[in-house]
Amino acid sequence: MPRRLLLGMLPAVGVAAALVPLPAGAVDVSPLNCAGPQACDIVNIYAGIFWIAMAVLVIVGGLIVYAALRFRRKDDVEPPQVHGNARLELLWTAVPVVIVAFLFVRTTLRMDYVRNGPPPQVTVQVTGVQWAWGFKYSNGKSNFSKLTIPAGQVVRLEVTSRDVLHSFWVPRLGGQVYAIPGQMNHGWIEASQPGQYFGQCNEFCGLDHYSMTLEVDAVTPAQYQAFLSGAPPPGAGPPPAQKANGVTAAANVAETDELKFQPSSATVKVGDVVQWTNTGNSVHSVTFDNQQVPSLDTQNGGEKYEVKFLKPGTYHYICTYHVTSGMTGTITVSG
Amino acid sequence: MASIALPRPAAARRNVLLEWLTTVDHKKIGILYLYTTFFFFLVGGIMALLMRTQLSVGGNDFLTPKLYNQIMTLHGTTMIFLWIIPVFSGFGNYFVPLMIGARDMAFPRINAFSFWLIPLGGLTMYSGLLTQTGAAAAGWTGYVPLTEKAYAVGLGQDLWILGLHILGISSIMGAINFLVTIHNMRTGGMTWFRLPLFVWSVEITAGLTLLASPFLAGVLAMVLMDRQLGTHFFNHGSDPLLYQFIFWFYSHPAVYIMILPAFGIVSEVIPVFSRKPIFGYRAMAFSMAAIGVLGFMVFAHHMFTTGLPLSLQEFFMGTTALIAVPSGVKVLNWLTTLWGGSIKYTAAMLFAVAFVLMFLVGGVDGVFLASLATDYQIHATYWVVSHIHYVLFGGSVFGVFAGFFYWFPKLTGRYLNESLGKLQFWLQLVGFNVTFMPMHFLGLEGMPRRIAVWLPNRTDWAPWNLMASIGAFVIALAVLIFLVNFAISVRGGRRAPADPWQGNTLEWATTSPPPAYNFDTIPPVRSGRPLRDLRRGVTAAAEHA
Repeated sequence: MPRRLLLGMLPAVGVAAALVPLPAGAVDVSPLNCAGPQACDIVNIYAGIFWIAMAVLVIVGGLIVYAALRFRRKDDVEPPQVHGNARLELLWTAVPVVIVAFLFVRTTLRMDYVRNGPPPQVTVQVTGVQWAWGFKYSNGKSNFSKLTIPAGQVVRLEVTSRDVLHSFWVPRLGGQVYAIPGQMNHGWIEASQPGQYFGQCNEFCGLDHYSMTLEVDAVTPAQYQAFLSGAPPPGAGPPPAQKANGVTAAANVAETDELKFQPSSATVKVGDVVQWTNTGNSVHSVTFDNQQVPSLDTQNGGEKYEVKFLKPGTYHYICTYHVTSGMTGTITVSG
Repeated sequence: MASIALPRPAAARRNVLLEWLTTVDHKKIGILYLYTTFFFFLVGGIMALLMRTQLSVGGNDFLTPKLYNQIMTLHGTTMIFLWIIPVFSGFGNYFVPLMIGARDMAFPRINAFSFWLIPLGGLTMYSGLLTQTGAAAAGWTGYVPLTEKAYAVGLGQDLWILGLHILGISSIMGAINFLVTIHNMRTGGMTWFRLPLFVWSVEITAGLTLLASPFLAGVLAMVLMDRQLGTHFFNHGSDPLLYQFIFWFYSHPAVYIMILPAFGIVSEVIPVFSRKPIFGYRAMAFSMAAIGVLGFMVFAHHMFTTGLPLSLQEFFMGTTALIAVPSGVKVLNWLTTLWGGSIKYTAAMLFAVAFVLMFLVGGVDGVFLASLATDYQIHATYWVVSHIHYVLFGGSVFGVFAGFFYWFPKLTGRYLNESLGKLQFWLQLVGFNVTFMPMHFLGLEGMPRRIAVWLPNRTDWAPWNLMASIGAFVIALAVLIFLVNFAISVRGGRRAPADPWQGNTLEWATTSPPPAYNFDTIPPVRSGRPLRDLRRGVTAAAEHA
């Protein structure tokens, strides 16, 4: 059932909004606007519950409002003192039991499909990190933030986390799956049609939780094979930076036990190497926003790390362990 | 009623401030609870306004994410642990001894100690704001590993845990005090099935608090030890879900700790202003007990998306759905209490009837969260924010205001202003629904809760967010009117007699406000409505008329 119709079922205010078309550039992440079999199955279950819930709300709510208006005090006569009615109590214990039993069975019958899905055709490993999503495909290829899947195929997700809890969620394709460090959770998605589908982390995961977005690109199976084999996407140039080792550095940045990058901003030229040295005992990381710049996940006391910058620009980076203490830095590469 | 003026000792010169600081009188402690918790309600409310301002438009930078996360955490913790839970302890302190015809609580000094831990716990938690790294910022649920030292740097998280420990000690001692008082200090004739339903609600709430709070204290102690002593309960490969199981084993019953006393208040207010007995008294008492028992069997419904085995999820879906049964029984009994009544709409009654309606909405939208499949799509979205506020604001807080208007004459000997009260009620009802109804739609449009900034390209979220923010300020206006009403009425309000509403329960048998010793004489209790019996001159022989 299309989302606009369902929203139309909502109280009057919902109708007006449902009729307004989305402007250009707008992103729709409504689970009601389902675009895959799992999400659409859930919408069907939702619609069933919705009608029953609305009936209960309208009947019981209506009776309360009616009684509240109808029995206003008109005189000072004490009304009949009714203490209760055992039959009524039995009736309105039994009727809700029947309703919730129906809803229970209705949901349970679909749960194996919703949770486990059909046999998967593709498996992707998903890893949440503060604050990005990493994907690893069956042939070992990996990337960040944009998951490419073949449309019309069941994609099994094996979801874990490198640090805190996250929740993988692309509402139009299926329900959410928690990413739990040290555990492998599973879920599945399928996009019926090629297209772009959006989502963001749905479990609070610290400072920049709000920015932990993701995108699913559903492509044709042929395009998916090309993607896996590493055919460069159109318009991509050489990477902006690469790892270096033992090269004389143009700039040195110290990582201190005061939880600072020292200096926090440095300027170098294209082709220069920047060296990070952990001068204390705390563990740090050098993690760039730009996922094409190689990052270092853990750097113990005394260790060094070097990156050679090949493109002009401003590169922001953080220590994922201490970003809440303000341990961030910037490298500016001038042409 | 004739009363004998006892000769009193000559009043010694007393320091009023010292008297309040050292009091062990249940009524004064009750009033201290009400003042303190209302202060925290205002603080938590201001935090809510800051958040709604930040979220009114997409891509806003009114608050930094760092600050937003702290405010979001403190708002939840404040409203739950410093407002709703203890405000009912305030009402309970004042009215349980009066309603059962007792002189005081069983342990007056422990009672005072329980109270003074509340501001101490609150200030301990807030003191995190003074540290360089800020207050706790991991949400009121404090999930690991986010609260572990590697991710929550600084003392804020430790102070938050310590604050909750202090508040937990207060809750547990208060619960024991209520249980001992209710079990042992009822006046002659006050059998279990003549107890006012408010006392029943406090009894069940105290039982839940006593059984559940140690689990929260324990699990938070584990996190604190991980942070400060280097233990490894929840890091280095331990199971983060263990925390959630223990946390929700407390925190789901805590939801009922927050709503049951409101059930109790509303079950007092509705019969009085309908001039009828509560419909199905025993069903009302038993359904509260059933909710209390079932409340311990549903905790994993907060964890449906964590990958628990499907059979376990289905078990918890079943128990969760069952809670709808006793909840429905309550709503329908309130409805039939209204039915055929002679309803007088005081501000207290308006809040009580609105409570039933809002709780109904909060119950119905909860069914979508109980159903596994739909929960996968609305878990931790704004649907949940809406649901919890329909239960705890439209429910509990409306119940608290019903209690304020109903009992203010007893507390002070004066009425609150009814016109201002009704103005406040309508503003609050409209503001509340304008704020929280759109959050259902936000949930259905995929908006996660707890995000400091929402992306402007989610254009269909824009109207609902703006509407919710406007509604929040309407609520603030309503609360402001209450403050004005209070300021006017506490000294200059119309004087109230001992029994201003033709009440049913014993607190109305004594003067308004009651003397330190509570009762000159306690009327005989021959039914659940001793005051009505007294007005009608019912004697033992004419019982069950």
